[in-house]
Amino acid sequence: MADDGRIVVSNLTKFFGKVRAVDDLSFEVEPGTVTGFLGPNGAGKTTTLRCLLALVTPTRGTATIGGRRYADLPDPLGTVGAALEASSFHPGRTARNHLRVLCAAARLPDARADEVLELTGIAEAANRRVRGFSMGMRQRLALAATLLGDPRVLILDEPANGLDPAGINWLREFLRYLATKQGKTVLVSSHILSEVEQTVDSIVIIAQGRLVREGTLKDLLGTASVAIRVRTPEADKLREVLERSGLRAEDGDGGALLVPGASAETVGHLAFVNEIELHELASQSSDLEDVFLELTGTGRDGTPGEVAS
Amino acid sequence: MTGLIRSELRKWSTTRMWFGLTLGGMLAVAVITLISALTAGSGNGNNGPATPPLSDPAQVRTIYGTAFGIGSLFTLILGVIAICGEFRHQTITPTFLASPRRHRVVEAKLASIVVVGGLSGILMIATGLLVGAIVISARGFATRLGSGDVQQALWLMVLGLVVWSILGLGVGTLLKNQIAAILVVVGFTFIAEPLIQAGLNALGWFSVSKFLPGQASMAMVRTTGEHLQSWWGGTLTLLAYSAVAAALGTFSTIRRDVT
Repeated sequence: MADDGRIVVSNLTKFFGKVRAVDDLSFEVEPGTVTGFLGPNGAGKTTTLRCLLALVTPTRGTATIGGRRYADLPDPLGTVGAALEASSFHPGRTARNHLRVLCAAARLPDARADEVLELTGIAEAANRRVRGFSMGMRQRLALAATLLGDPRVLILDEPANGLDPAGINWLREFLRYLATKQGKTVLVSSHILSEVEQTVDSIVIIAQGRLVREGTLKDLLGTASVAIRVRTPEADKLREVLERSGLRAEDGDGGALLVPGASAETVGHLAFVNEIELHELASQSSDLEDVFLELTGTGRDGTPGEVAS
Repeated sequence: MTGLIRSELRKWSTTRMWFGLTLGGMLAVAVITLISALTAGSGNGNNGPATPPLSDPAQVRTIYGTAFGIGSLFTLILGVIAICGEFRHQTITPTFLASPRRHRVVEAKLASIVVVGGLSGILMIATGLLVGAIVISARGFATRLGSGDVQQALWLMVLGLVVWSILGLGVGTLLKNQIAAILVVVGFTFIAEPLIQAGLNALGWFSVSKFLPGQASMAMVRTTGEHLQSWWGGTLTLLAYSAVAAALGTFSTIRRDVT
């Protein structure tokens, strides 16, 4: 099981001067899955990925792919395809030539350059200089480069950055295709959960360099709390009634009340028997994004708060 | 390793940088060779001494050697760009991803800069030779193209230009920043070195001053000056500077985190 492409990060710590970018981080990525690597900006995602790719030397701990450090891989591009930023291109070089430079370094046939351009849908831009590329095309070219050696493992840092909604949709389907049809292991980072929500099987969430949550998407959804949203002109009376039944009502937006942990049936029944007029009664599950924000300790306004453990 | 060298050569052939710099170098060589060949032997106005006439074999060599002084700046820049361009455009990331054993990248760059710098050097020297020979024969003097000392000087100039590109690669590897690397080498050779040399010479320490990079470079083509090393001594001295810079660079800059 040495070369199954499992990614193992263990006790990884990285200081930049006095700044602790990654703090005793450990997680694993199962072979053949798409894993979302999530966290707010500055959480340490990029540093972790760069440690994994031998671009940054960890202060402590290890990061391996299939049991080996990246620097020890005999055929790096044939084992791991990585796209770290969509700006690693010489502006005066054409897309095809950028890929052919890498083909030569990895001893791959030049024909691979055209194949991956075709795969990522930018074949018609092959002979254009990267200078004139949109952000979306740069992302596609970066993705094309990762596929050159047909590696089993793909590591993508914020591949959805700068993509329009159609581009994000395309990326989603492309990653699913690579994982399900080609059995690749994909580790994809993002600071926006909804970008990868429909693509990933598992998630690793970090904040301030530390692991916050690791598991399947289903597990994470299970922690999403459900509340009943109810609107009434007799809010005080309903609040009293609810509290007598052991339920707590919180103020929601638009003058509504939120009743966590209750069912619509219970709240509706209590209102009915106490003759309270209702204008709205709905079940409201806090969406995944809320869970994510709660876990990473960032409010909706993006201000950092307490880190949930 | 051959794959990495091929990759490095492709980096040159797929942008306009090499072509542009070489063309610029050839134009500069042509203009300055033209001027020095036309004015050779004539007085520098009323004040100032006249340059030696073209009937002097040494002066003919000096005319052909104009290409070396100018060309060395251009091949130096080529060597600097070979490594600093990668940091500047962040292409160093894919380069190191393809070859995580980073010292091999520097070695492949060394091999490719010999080819690229050599090609550039040959073109610039040939330009100087062509322009120089045309003017010299038009003024009715012997071009001396068949003479052994001219031919030897030409090949040493090409070698010297290659060595300057290697020096650029070494200093570029150490300093990482393109502009800084070029300014440091040019600033040292043209401003700091003449001062140091004057100081050393005043003390009579010629055995020390001949190891300064500019003096070593001059020794390679030996157009003027006394107290110089032999051509191979100069070559080895410049290569030693390059090797020290490249080794320091490989152990410091190249090992550093790429963020």
